[in-house]
Amino acid sequence: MNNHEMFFNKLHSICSQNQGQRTAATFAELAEAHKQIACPVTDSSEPIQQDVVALFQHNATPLNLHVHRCSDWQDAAATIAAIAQQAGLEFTAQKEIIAHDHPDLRQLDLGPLLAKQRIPFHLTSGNGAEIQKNTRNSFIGITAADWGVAESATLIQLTTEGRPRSTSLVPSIHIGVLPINRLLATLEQAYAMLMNIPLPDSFVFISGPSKTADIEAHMVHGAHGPKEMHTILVDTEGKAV
Amino acid sequence: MSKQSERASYTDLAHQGLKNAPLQKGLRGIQQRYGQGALHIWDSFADPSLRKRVKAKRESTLAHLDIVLEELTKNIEQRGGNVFFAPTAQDAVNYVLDLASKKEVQRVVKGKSMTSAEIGMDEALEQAGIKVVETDLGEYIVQLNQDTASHIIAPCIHLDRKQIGRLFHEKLDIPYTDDPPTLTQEARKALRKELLSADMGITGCNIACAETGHISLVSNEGNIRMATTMPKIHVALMGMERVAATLDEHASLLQLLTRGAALQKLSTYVSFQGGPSEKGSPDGPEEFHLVIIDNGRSKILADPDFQEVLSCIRCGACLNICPVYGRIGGHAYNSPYSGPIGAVITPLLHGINNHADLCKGETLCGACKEVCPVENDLPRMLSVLRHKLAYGDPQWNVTPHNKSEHRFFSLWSRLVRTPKLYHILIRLSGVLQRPFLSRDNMVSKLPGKFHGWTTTRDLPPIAESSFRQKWLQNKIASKNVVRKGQKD
Ligand code: SF4
Repeated sequence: MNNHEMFFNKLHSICSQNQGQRTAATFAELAEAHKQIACPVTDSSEPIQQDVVALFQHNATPLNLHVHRCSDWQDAAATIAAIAQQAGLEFTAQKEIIAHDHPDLRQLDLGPLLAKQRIPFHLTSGNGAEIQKNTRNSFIGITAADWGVAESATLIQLTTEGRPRSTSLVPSIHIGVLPINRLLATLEQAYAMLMNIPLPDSFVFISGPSKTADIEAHMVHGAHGPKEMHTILVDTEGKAV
Repeated sequence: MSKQSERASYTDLAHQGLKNAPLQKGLRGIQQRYGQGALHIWDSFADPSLRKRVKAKRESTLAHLDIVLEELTKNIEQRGGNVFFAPTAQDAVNYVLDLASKKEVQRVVKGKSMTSAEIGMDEALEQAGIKVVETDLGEYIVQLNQDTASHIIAPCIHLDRKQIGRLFHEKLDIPYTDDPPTLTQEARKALRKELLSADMGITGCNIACAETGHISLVSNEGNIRMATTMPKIHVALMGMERVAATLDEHASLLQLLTRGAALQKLSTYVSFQGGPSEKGSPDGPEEFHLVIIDNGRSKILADPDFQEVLSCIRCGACLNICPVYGRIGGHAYNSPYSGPIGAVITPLLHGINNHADLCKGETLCGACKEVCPVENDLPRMLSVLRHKLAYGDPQWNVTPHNKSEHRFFSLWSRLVRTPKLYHILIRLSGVLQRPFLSRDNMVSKLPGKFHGWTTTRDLPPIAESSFRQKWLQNKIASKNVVRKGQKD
């Protein structure tokens, strides 16, 4: 008997004795039975908010997450350029920026704008080692999100080609970009989205900059991930998702 | 665990905890804020029976654990991940050691994992000559201090900023400072080097999801994302019960976890891993190994009295409300699992006699049950453990814990069933107690073996005349009154 068989046999004999709660014979049956027990986590103290952007902003403030609402892609690009101009350096000697190679971010056309500030700009495409090097050399990482969640000020990112994980992690500052038509109200809605697509090996929910309160419960931003985070919400003129 | 024979007793460690001023301050802070805060959140739920339903789902998943883990395994293997089932702690350790030696691993970065502490992973790797660095700030501090965690979520609440400042000055060779942002920044610099250069990342698993074939990890610092992104190999250690059947169940457990642990709607990062990263990706591990650990859990699952405890999602809320943990701190529990959950799970995993003090130390006040996101009835399970210790239990290899106590109560039970003897003895004790009465007329020091009863409490003295005597006198007196009345 191999490792798996041994384990499953043992477990099967234990679980089979649980007469009361054991009702399903297959995983599909179990999943079906679970669907009958709905458990949405909702908090009645939440302000009732029709406007998801306002709700996102409301929940971002306590997380020290900066939210910028931009009227179009051009406005978004200008906002990013302004952040890049003002922000200071932490790990590196000069300013460089890396961005996900994603259709949303290509619309920003950041290259020429940043060239004016003499900031080298990289995309996460091409050679893996090159991307790694550029990521470590960048002080800002710009990422494209799949969805936003207003109730927790969260961005959800699937790890897919052109969107590696370290862009939102290794640089000191993370800028997440999301068209407003992909901003959802609740986490439950976001999970519903995840249920309907084949999921990649990795995905992540990000709600604000990295932080720690391990020393005397004193809140400090920038433990191991970015110490500063901006979310750019781009108006998409009501275009459908 | 190996250090059991030489470990200090619960009582001694509890006394040390009570005298530790930084610990006391840390405990007060965490209990005032998080314990009460979690209760407040549950009260604010629009639907008061939500936690009950989540628990029902959780228990149903546990009742189908074989099916659920098979699904998880299938889905992870489909993506090219490896799954290994470890019947014991040693099997899990050996698997990781073999892997590390095959891949010539020299540096390991860790994400906070209690399962890893349970199986003694760090010590084993270090003995094999591998450098191991804890990367959660609290765990890193504890590791530098050659210490153990004293809270399952906030590992270093027993240290204050001055102690941490001195530690960093000594170990990291930086000028002394007690400024938390500066200290954090120093740790950030030191750990970044480790995180970017390690060959293997080892993490735990908060909640896996069988339906999609992922494990999920929560963190605020980002160290866990680093440890699962930068090294070439990611090993996740998971207690076999830490799995949700469906994405739906995952959603509710996750939100109860982050609320219960730190009053957050979500932690800063919730990352899902379900296999090695795709070929050609610039980052992410080339190999993903999930080690699913039994180490005594199947025995708990098979016992209807205790299977409920496997619903625990290790949020730490019960520590943040427990009046006992709130005074003595985590070290007294002699285990990576402290507080009320530790008092139940530690004896079950490592021997009930071995950790007999834990269930007796808790007060059974019920606060932990109230605050628990999955409403685990820890007080009930603590009572069952006490029962086993009193009477023994061959199934759990328990021998009666305190033979003289056992003998005393058997005698006592015989005595109360012999009223005549009982009354004589009580009257006699009323006289014999006199030399032991303190000035405020309390018994504050009992002789011999009984002195334990009075070290922390005073007993009221035995009354001059008993209730029974008074009753009888009363009856006689009232009869006299009646007779007198009839005469008149
Ligand atoms: S027993 Fe409940 S409160 Fe305690 S750690 Fe587990 S889930 Fe949290």
